[in-house]
Amino acid sequence: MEEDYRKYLDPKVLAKIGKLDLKARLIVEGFISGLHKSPFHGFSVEFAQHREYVPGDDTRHIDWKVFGKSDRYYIKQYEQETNLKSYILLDTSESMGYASSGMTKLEYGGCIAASLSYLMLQQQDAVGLALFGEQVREFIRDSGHPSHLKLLTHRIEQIQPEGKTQVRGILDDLAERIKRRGLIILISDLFVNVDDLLRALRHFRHKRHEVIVFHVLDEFERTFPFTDLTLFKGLEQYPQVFAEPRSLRKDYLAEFDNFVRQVKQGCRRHSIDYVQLSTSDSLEVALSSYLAARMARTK
Amino acid sequence: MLQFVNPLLLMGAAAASAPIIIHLLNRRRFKVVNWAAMEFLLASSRRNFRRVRLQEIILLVLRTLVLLLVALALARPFMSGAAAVLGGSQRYVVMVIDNSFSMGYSGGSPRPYDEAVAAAGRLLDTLNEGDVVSLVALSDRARPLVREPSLDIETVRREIDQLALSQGSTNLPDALRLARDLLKESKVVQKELHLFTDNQRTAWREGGSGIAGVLREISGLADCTLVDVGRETRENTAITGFSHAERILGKEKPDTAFDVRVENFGEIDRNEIDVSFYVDDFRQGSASVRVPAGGKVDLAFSYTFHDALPHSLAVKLKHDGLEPDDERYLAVDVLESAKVLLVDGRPSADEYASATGYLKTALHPKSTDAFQRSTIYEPVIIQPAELDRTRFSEYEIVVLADVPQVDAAVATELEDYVRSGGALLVFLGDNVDHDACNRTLFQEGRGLLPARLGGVRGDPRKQTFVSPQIKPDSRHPLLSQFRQQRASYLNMLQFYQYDMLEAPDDENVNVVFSFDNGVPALVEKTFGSGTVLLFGFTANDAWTDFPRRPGYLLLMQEVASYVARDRQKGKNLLVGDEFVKTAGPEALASKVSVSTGGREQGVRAVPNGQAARLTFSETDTAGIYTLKIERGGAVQQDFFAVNVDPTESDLHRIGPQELRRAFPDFRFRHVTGTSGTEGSLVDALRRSEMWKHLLIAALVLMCVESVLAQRFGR
Repeated sequence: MEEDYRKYLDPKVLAKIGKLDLKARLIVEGFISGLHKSPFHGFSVEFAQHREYVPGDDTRHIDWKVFGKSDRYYIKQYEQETNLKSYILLDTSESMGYASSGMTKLEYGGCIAASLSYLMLQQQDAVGLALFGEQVREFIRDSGHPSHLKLLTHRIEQIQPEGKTQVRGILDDLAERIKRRGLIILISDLFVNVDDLLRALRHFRHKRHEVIVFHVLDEFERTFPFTDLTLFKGLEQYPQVFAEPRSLRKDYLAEFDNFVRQVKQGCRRHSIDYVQLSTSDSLEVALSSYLAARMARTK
Repeated sequence: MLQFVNPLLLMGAAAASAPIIIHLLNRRRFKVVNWAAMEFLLASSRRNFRRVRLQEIILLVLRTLVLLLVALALARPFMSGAAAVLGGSQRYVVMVIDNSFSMGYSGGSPRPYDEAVAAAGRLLDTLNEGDVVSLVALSDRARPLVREPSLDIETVRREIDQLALSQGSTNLPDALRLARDLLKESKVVQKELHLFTDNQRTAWREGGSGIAGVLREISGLADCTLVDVGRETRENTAITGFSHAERILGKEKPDTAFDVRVENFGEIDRNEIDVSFYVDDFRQGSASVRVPAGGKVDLAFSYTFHDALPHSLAVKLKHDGLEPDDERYLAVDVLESAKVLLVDGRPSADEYASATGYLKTALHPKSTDAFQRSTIYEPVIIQPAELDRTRFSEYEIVVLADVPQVDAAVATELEDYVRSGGALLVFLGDNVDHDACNRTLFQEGRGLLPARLGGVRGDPRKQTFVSPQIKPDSRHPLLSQFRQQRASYLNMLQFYQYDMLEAPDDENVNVVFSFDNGVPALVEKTFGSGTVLLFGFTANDAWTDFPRRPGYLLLMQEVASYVARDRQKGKNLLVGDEFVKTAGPEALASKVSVSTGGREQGVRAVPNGQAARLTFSETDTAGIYTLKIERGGAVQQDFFAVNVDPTESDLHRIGPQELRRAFPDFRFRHVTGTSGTEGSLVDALRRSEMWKHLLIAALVLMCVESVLAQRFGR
């Protein structure tokens, strides 16, 4: 019985699924099953090794000779597919723990990270992961091995939001650590100093990395729909504010839009893909954004 | 001063705290959100903090105000008087309560006085802690009952309760002057005068122009309210006069006449008003009279006294709505005789050739018994040489007839005698030294003589004569017997000789009648308390045939009773007057008391020169007062009478419009206090009410509140 995987792109559905690696698989399956054309083009002709076929691999790459000899499906792997090294930088600061309903930003971001990892590993790309808050809390070197996914998803699952987002030193540090140029995927709510953020991103660009920024936001953060008198308890050591939200809404939104505009403009200036995501948005957006970038990268 | 019709509803003002409570409760019921995008929130909150706080406060104040105004409106506040402008500060209230006897008018209950007391009580109810009150009773003696502005309103209330209706009249000018002084002395900013009165027309008229200035001053000082408690009906009959014509009442003088005047102040004719006449508490006569509406009737009772003692008399009507004026009293002294000193300048063995023979006969006729009884004068004849040995004060009347001159010492003594109430008659004659008399007696108008002696004129041979000319319109009391047909008693007389009297232009000098050639024949002068009459002719028949005519006797009797010392003066008082009597020195050592209506009070005698002076001022009620001087077993008894002021009997009221016309500078609020028109007090109150304004203000505020709330919340 064919399962409709597309439903797993909906965060509401995803939230009910416990294990992240499963989530990631379902997301990607759902995503791919919706595509008319395989995204996996441009495999290099330079043979590297064989690898066992797994469903989802392009049947074109099956080495029929090996099949003839061994009666097993092998895929011819080429040198170039491991050429792309991706690092996913996932913000795990306290602010990422916010959720108006359903998933927290961190959970959402984790899903993206896991899905992308799965997708990349499926493509024989190497994926590395950095979880950071006030400092780099976890750094997993890149690896293209399919079992790497288990490690990645496990780490992502384990992590709890905590600490302030520290962009400046950390991203610079990461930029230095990641030697080979590749794809840098930053998943964060970007609640940091805009100038620091852009400087850090510029650093990546300077190291000739491709950079995609997934700006994960909660819907409430974008619309500020509060009406009742509210005590806002600041995450990340911000003081608390006791306010009548209706009177502040206009100003808050202006402030927020201004911030987003600044980030967007900075990204554009440095040829960084900027994708704004709401935790209520479908994950499809995130994945297709990645693929678009991946295409551009491999052209 | 802000006052409330429903002060209890003021508690509704507590509702004004509702928005504050709601606000505070809201503050306690809030959501807690862990918030990530704090930076933006902080920025906007920082920027908006002051604005939001201000908006909150504005809304809170508006909501509170709306409820407060509604609660206030329900309590129906009203401003009284100038307070409306000055705001609720301390009040100084001067209450003038009319307690004259007209306030006790019971024609149509309740009495105006009870109304006034009730209205005063209501006024006291409106006072607050810290307000001060003075109370003035408005009757004949304007009495400050609470003069020092009193903070203790209960004391004032007690004073009002104790204040009784008096039998005094309305002495408005005194009360207003007293009120003005009280208002002037007070430092309180907000002053009020409340005048509780039945608003009698006579009370306002009597003051005349004198009170116009006082009223203007008061209007400038205070807020005036005239609480008119008068009645529409004014039916009232009263005895307004009770007197006797003669100054000296003699024992056994037949039928001494007492004049009684009955007035009807109402609008209905009164038939058969029974008037009773009492002497020493025994009814001695009665009459029934008819008095038309607004009219008056004079009637007379007569009585013959048989003993030379003080007597008390009374006239009474059947009681009507206003009782005190239905009785009137009179105290009289009846004398055994009145001594008259005749100084004869032409003594003669032949009685009628002497200067005073005719006069003595005229004053003390001896021809018939009847005539003898009718006179009490007892002539004593002396010669001019004896003048300086004479004590004039023993005599009721002193007559100088053809006396050549008096020396300065005698003239001074005579002056003292006349000044203290004595009477001096001067007849001329051939012996009179004109220059000397002018010098010592006339003194260029300063002396006793009413006119300068200009010298003898006429025809000594008695061929020609002049006659007195009695003007028909002459109202002089001396000529009251010579009106109409009896005018011939004087007009037909022949005066062969006369003195050329020159009467100075002086308000105390009055020409009683003149001769037909215009020369004054009889000139009167008021000198101190006494009277001097100068006759321009002789007392005997030397210059005229007058002494031989019947008119002579008539005129001399009239003259005697006209000029004689007024024995009854000081014995007939109005309510509130002080009784003063000079008694012999033995009174100092005696027990002296005054009693009336069963009450007896001791009187202290104070030495006054050789004599004792007795004063009694508790004459609060009308009636006969008995004065007793007891020493050993001997009791000397005297009476004096106290009557109500007849002007108070006229219950005609003066309306507020008329009052404003009469006193344009008097600004006052007119309030009627009678039970039938209670509404007018409420009306006056309603005029100063402001619940409508309050409700409108509350509505406006509510609109403003919703508009602002919309704006702020956007």
